[in-house]
Parts: sequence; structure tokens; C-alpha cells
Amino acid sequence: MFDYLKFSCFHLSGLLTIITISLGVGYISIGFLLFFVVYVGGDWLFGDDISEPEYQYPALLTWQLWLALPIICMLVLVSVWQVSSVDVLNYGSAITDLTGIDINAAKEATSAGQYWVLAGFVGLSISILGTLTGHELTHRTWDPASMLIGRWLLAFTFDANFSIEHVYGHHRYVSTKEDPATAPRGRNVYAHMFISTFKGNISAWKLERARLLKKRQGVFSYHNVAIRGFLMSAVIVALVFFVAGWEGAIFFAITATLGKFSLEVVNFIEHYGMVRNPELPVQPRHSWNTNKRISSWAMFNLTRHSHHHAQGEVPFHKLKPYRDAPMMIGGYLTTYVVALIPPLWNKLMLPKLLEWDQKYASKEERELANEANKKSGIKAFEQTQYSIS
Amino acid sequence: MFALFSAKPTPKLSVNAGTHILNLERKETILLAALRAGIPISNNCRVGACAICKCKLIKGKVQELTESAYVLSEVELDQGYILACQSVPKSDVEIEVLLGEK
Repeated sequence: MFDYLKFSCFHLSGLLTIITISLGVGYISIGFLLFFVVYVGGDWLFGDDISEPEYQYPALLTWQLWLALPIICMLVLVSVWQVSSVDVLNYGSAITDLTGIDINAAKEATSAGQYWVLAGFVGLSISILGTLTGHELTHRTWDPASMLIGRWLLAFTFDANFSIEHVYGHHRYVSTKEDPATAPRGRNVYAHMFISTFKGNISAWKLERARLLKKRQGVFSYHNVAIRGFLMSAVIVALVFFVAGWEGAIFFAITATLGKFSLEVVNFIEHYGMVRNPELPVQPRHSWNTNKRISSWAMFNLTRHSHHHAQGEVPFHKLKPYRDAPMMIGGYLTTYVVALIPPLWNKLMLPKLLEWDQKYASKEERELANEANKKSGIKAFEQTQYSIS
Repeated sequence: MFALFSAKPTPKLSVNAGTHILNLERKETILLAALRAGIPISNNCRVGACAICKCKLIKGKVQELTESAYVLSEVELDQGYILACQSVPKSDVEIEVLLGEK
């Protein structure tokens, strides 16, 4: 039973986000802070989860993934309500009547300065609620309902086309120079947000265009999945505009962009600096893994990334916690925070990558590592050259 | 009369003109079935992105879980190539594939 319930960490943190944003004023910052305390502190305190339960009712787990859609809709509603000058869909009055807590008054008292915190908080939450589940669901190519819900979840970060590029680009080229989402040694995470977003979208478009040409279908037609993907996001922006006006639509667009950037931070920490020959099979060593308990529960085992890339068809509940795989600095949010501080990131990842070269890399990969080290722009990497014999 | 309600027999897979014949499990892909039976179809990404497991469909019908047009060429599509990792047989099928090492 607990093996099913443990993933509800995901939904609980979504609800907590919605509640703290509804309460407004200082509660927004408290909620945001709590997020970090629970995920960073929890992973530090509670160690690893390496259990491999057998699930008799995987449909219950799929429903948990689908549940992200109503939660993300609610999150967007509450966040645009908080910044809008109107009482969006009478949310404030309804909650005030229901609970006796005057959240409309709290909203009035919430300052513009707190909107900045709110944008960061919502951006992070949207990326967790939307891209995490969207990723898992759009891998399920055998299930049309999951594909549809997954694409809509991704549309909340303007990224429905992740479902094209991720499968046909990223999984094919992971940890090689051809993959937009794999950051080479020495790249700064903030640069990666832009480079990967840009190249990923170009790649999705090219893949889609090539597919349509082969099928002799119009590139600018209903058949174009990439165009449909952008339209899905446009529909969400239009709906937000309809209920919350310009302020709401602009605020949503900002948080969606931050959510996409947040996904790129995740891409960054998952494969930073790794090298591979694209002709050879993807192995567990080509992803940074972590088995931290709270991260795994709150993120549907995305943490077990080494197995995910080695066998992309395996649903999250069957992923194994490869203990011998290369390990991230810490749990997901811990590593994420470190990545946002480039000097610290470079300091901590240098020994990790040098160990990777020594312990995991094949002879050919050490040659690729030599090349990557030379181009890294980081002295300690540049000075490291392996003799290939 | 009850035959109507009994489970349909699962399809059979024949590889390289009957060199290997095996019974498929329900909703199983050609690749997973072949690997289960020890038939070494080369593969890599298993999500329909690398086309290493491509094979030629000689007979029968399959459901393709992803759009093989993302990764196969126009000529291959015309010749009836499919991706073993993304094809679930809907009837008895026969495929032709270059087998790798075990």
C-alpha cells in the first residue's frame, strides 16, 4: 500500500504550493522556502530508496500521473488570481466563504516585490508538476490517453514538442555532441537554458518536417505535430487571458518560460559533461543517477535515470536503482541548486567527471573526453589529457 | 457459442522465412518477443528513435506504437520496413531481419 502512496509526495507538494499562494503575503516565501527545506533537507536526512516493489495495479500509478493535470490547472488559476486585479473566476470570494479566511484581503496586501518570489515558486512548481509527468507520459507511446495528457502537461511550459525532440533526438543522441540537452564540459547552466531551449525546438521542427515530407503530408497542415504543440500552449495563454486579463496572461507566460528553463536545469544535471559514441548503445554510465528517497518519491523515480536511458521503454515504477551508476552530487533539488551556482558546480563536478573518465569511460570515450576537456575553457579540465594506448 | 468469449489466440512471429517461429504474448513488441526467445535482433534505444532494430514486414499486420517515419527513410517506408521495438503484431506476422550476435 505504501508503495503506491509514497508518490503522493508529488501531489501533496503541489497542494501545499496552491495553499501557500492562496494565502498570499509572506506565506508565498514560506511555501517556497519549505519546498527547499523538505527536498534538500529530506534527501540529506533520509538517504536512499533502493526498493524495487512489484506493482499489481500499475493503473493506480498511471492515475497518479494523470492527476497532475487538474493540479497544474489549479496552480495556474491560483497564481494568476494572485497577480490579477480582478477576482479570477471568483476564486477569492469562494475560498473566503468556504474557509472564513479572507484571502482577498491578503491578496490586496501582497506586494509587487512578492510577485518575484511568486514567479520563481510557480516556475519551479510548474516544471515539477508539468514536465516531470509529461516526460513520463509521453514515453508511453502505446497509450493514447497518456500521450494526450502528457502533451497538455508539457504545453504548460510551452514545450509540447518535447514529446518529439526528447524521444527521437535526446534518447538517440544522449551524451553526445549531437544532443541539444546534453551540456558539454564547461558550459554554464544559464547559457544551457537558452542554447538547449533553442536547439531543442529547432530539432523538433526538423524531425517533424522530415517525417511529414516522407509521408507526403503538408508541412504546414493539421498533420504537423509541432505546430499543434505550439497551438496547445497558445490555447492555454488565451484561456488565462480570458479569465485573468493581460496581467494574468503575461504572468503565466513568465512562469511557463521559467518552468521550461527549470527543465533545462534538470537536463543539465542529468548528463553534464558525459561523452559517448552515438553509434554504440546507451549504457547506464551515460546518465547521472541518484537514488535519494525524497527526490525519488516526489519525482516518480526520474532519479533512476541511468536505467531510464538504458531502457527507455520501461515505465517509472519498474526502473531499478542502479547503485553502481555514476551518481549526482545529491538529490534532485540539491543538485539543481548547486547547478545554479556555477563556481560551486564546477568545483564539485570536476572530481566527479574525472572519476567518470577513469572508472566508467571506454577507451574511445576517453579520447572523446580529451577533446571535451580541451574545449571546456576550464583550466583543470584542459590540463587533463589521457594517454590512449 | 462460448467461443465468442474465449481469448483470441495470440499471434505467431516467423523470422527470416521460418528460421525461428515463436508465439507472442499479448501486446508484446516484436523486439521484446524475439529477445525473450533468444533471437538476437540488434537494438539500441528501444523507444523508436535509433532505427537499429528495423526489419522488413513480409506478411501480416502490426500496430506501430510510434511514427516510424521519424526515423526510417522514404525508401524504407515504401519497402515495408518497421521498427521491431515499436511494433505489436495484430495478426500472425513474418519478418526479415539481419540478426546480430547474441
